[in-house]
Amino acid sequence: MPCNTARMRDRFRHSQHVLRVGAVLLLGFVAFLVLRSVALPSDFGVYGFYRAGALDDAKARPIAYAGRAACEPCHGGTYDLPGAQTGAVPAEADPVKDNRHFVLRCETCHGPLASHVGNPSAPVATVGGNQLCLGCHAQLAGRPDTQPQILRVDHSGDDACVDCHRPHRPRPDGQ
Amino acid sequence: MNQDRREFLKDAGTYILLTGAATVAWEYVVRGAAEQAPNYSATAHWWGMTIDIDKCIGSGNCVRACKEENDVPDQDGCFRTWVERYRIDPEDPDHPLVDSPDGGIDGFEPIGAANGTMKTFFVPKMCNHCVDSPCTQVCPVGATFHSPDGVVLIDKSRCLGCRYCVQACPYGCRYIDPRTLTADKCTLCYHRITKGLTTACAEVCPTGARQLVDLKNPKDPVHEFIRTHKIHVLKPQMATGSKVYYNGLDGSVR
Ligand code: HEC
Ligand code: HEC
Ligand code: HEC
Ligand code: HEC
Repeated sequence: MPCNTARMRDRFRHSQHVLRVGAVLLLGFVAFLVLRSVALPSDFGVYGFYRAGALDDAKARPIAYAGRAACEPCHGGTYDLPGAQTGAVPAEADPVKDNRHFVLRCETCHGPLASHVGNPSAPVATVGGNQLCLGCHAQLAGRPDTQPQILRVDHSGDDACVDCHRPHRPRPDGQ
Repeated sequence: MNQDRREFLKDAGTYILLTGAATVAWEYVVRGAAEQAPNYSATAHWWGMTIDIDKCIGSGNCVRACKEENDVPDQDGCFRTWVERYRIDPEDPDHPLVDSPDGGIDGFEPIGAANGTMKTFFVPKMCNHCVDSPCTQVCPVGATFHSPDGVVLIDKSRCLGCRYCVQACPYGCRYIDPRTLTADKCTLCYHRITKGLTTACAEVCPTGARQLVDLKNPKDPVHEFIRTHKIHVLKPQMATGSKVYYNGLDGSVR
């Protein structure tokens, strides 16, 4: 029997090692939890493994392009034939489908104008020049045939595009 | 003695395992039950984009508008969207010639008559807002994530700038912002789409080649579009679950 007790005591002495290791691990775990709660923002993990407030941060950016609908109330009829608004040109002479630029959004050519929508009196940068038109109409490898394209040298030389084409209604007069 | 070492390993193993399990349990304690998370209407949307190759005229308007709208730095390689032009010799379709001068921000140069026999087209590229995105998986600090409406976003205040995500993206859609040294990428104009506007690139696209789509909206024309067109995504073999659907994408596009 005494021999057996000694063995038991031996066992117990050895299990002390395990307990100590366990205590160290537990301490490490607690330290980890404390550090983690200090390092993580309080809204981390509300939706997933990220800070929920980041969604609001992403939403907070100011808008630069107001969108075409924002221009309509003040600049409605921009794409109409000159005179269509006053009745000088009958409405049926002015079908929208005849204006192939109708598909273009204002800010594609005029640039971002959200600041102008809020404050119409602020000066608006002028746009124009042949480069504007050629950016979409120069003959180019890769450009699909559905896009009307011209070779400037053959088409108009150094003349300004707007001499013959209105930017808002580009089909030349008389066509 | 041998016996004891085995026992020790067994016990220690259990402790280590328990530590992991306790961490997981703790996550739930901290987070609270799922239904207690504040409700967010983003769950009513699932954003993506369609790009119609046949309609793209390579005007570069999208690249310019994206830079304006999102304050993307002018430095080399900082693009949230860019346009590539492919030229493919039908004799050698495996080696397409690709050019994208400054991401196409100033459009493209006409290339001489040698293109007569070439197949040419433009491919606008951007973040694919993948469902199983490799880039969010590698972030060590939870700085990049999927929003509940399916947009991959970056939390700049948490980003360490470790560049793992830049490497992980198979589409090359991320860059390091040289001003903050944090990762950045397309947000699908999250500040616009959450207010009912379309993205800046889709807003200015002259031909409607780009369309923002809401895959959760049953009335969105995207469902009809996907049903009636031959749709493809970039690098489907990567199984990223890309949500940018291309119509008319050539097999040679990488
Ligand atoms: C609240 C009304 C309002 C809204 C909305 C508005 N504008 Fe204006 N806009 C004006 C006024 C007023 C002027 C000044 C006209 C003038 O000076 O002759 C102006 C001037 C302009 C000019 C310059 C005209 C010139 O003669 O140089 C452009 C271009 C323009 N707007 C484009 C736009 C676009 C594009 C939008 C949509 C994003 C827009 N505007 C939205 C009221 C508005
Ligand atoms: C194809 C490019 C293009 C588009 C699209 C476009 N504009 Fe213009 N717009 C121009 C150019 C170029 C001028 C300058 C005209 C000139 O110098 O003769 C101009 C001039 C104007 C002016 C000054 C007054 C005038 O009529 O000359 C206003 C106001 C204006 N645009 C508003 C708009 C609005 C609103 C839209 C959208 C409905 C729009 N534009 C779409 C190119 C465009
Ligand atoms: C942002 C691109 C863009 C810009 C800039 C642009 N256009 Fe266009 N233009 C188009 C598109 C797209 C069409 C054809 C739309 C369609 O498919 O019906 C078109 C059509 C035309 C047509 C054919 C009209 C017809 O009825 O056959 C003419 C002419 C034209 N544009 C001239 C111009 C001129 C001049 C300018 C410069 C003031 C200009 N465009 C600027 C995109 C542009
Ligand atoms: C001298 C007048 C004149 C000038 C200047 C001019 N055009 Fe034209 N353009 C025309 C006429 C007339 C047509 C219609 C006849 C035709 O289809 O050739 C036309 C047609 C077009 C078309 C439609 C072609 C098609 O295939 O449907 C485009 C695009 C165009 N012009 C763009 C431009 C651009 C861009 C510029 C400036 C670099 C410009 N034009 C300058 C007179 C002009």
